[in-house]
Amino acid sequence: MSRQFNIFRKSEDYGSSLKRRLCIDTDPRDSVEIRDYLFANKDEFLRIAERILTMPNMYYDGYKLEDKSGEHPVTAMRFFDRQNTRIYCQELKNDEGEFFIICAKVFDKKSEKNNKKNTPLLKEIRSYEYKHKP
Amino acid sequence: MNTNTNHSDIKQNLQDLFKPRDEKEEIKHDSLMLMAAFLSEIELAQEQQNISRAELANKIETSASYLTQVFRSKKPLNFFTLAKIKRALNLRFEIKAFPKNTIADVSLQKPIFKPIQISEFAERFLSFQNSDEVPVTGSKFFFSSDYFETKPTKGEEVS
Repeated sequence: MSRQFNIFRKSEDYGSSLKRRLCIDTDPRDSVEIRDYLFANKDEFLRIAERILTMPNMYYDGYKLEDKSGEHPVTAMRFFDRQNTRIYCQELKNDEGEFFIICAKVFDKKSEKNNKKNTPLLKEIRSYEYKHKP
Repeated sequence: MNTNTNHSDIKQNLQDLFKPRDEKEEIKHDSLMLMAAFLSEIELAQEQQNISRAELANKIETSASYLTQVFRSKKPLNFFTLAKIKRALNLRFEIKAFPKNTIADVSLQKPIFKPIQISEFAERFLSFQNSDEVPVTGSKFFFSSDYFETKPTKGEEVS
């Protein structure tokens, strides 16, 4: 499925020499849901964003690989709130060495292990074919 | 509450998230990021030494759930716990400070520690010191490839 994304934060914004970009899927429904969730959980999100954009070792409890079976890994920003909310992301890189982390879906994950609800969602996100929309 | 749904408005909304907050909030954020810098290195060392969080907790005589809260920024990492972790994982931290608003060159090559006997270390140090060819500084000496091997970190850096 073809999708588009916008970049909204870069490693360089923090003075880092890494070339990571934090992005959002332009799908109207998903992007609004993601935006509203991030505004409601701003402090936690700002910590995750700075950590994954500036630290060489970017995977940790707050940002984990969920599915690396496809060409583009699917990861999750984990917020550890009451609903155990995650923002699922797809990672991809281009020939210029830029690394994109694209926020694709908000998901309230009740249990720790992957289940019937989120497994198809991970598969769906894995299948997205993203193009940058400047 | 944000009501805009146009994608360029949403992008702008998200960029607004990063506008400076009040000083107290910024200081709290900075403190947690300083903590994260140590935790990130600790997690890397755990990975390299194949030591789980539960094993690390056991080594420093604390609970795994406490460490998990620390790693999730729910509890502060104090320097006493940090020192215990440092000893448990046999680590040495190096601290560097840069003026703000400069580009820090973050190396994508993570060093892997290779143990060496003190006697061999001293012998090599003296041979470096006595060498006319290479004016070796302390830091160059310590990061000489004789003492460290490197491997790419996980993620985008692996091509």
